[in-house]
Amino acid sequence: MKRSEESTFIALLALTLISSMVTLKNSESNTTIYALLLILWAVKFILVAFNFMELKKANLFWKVTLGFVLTLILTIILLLL
Amino acid sequence: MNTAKIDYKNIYYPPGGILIWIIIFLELITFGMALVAFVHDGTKDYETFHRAKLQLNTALGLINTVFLLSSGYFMAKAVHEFEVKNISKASLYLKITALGGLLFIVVKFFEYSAKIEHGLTPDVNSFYMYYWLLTAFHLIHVAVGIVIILWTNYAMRKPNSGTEAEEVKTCGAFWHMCDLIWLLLFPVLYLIF
Repeated sequence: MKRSEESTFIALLALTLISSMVTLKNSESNTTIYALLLILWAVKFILVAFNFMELKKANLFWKVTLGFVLTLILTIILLLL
Repeated sequence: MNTAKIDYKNIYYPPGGILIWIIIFLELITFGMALVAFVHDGTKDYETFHRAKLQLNTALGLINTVFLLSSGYFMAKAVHEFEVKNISKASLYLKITALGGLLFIVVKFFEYSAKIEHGLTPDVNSFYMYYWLLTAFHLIHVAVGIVIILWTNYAMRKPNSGTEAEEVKTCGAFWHMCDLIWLLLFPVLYLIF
């Protein structure tokens, strides 16, 4: 449990670092880069929900519903871009 | 302290309780719909949104992300320590969590001050209307979260406290919700366009 919290935190910081490097290296507008950034932040969202909020212990319904809401929001945003 | 085990696999008992999860979903859908509207308007007035985005301080946004993620980590640790009945450690971690939230508010204060100084108020253009509306609404959630954390900490420290692990988990779920909302807001507001 303790190790899981620590590894999740390290993964979250690493993903933040990677996404900031991607942003700094690509200042021009590019839909592929936007998609990559949104996916990186979606992974962080999933890590917080499943490990910090302990959603991994919950009924499948809650996991699927959260995944559905996140996918729906990101898909609409990516389609609009 | 009630240590009765809850079966989280039961659909009615997600960790933290069903009511907090209904609130979390409502909040995520509300912010998500606002972000969709933001992107929709941005694609129609790309130049304005692009110029406005360049005026945002991405470094401050990233620092705030680290503050929120760190405080979320300490909140998860606080819940774990409370579950193993280590109240003093749980209390310490809750205080660090609240400190992370306070630092987030301090950084936001500097960010808002700079925006107001440069006349970048909500009536400048639609980008700033969304920026102020969404970030200020999120900031209110962080402030409320800090109050809930400090109250939970006060309640659990009282002699013969009746605070249960599930109540600390609910407090944690609310705080992590602030993380989740920020993880949706930050890339859309600060990184795209």
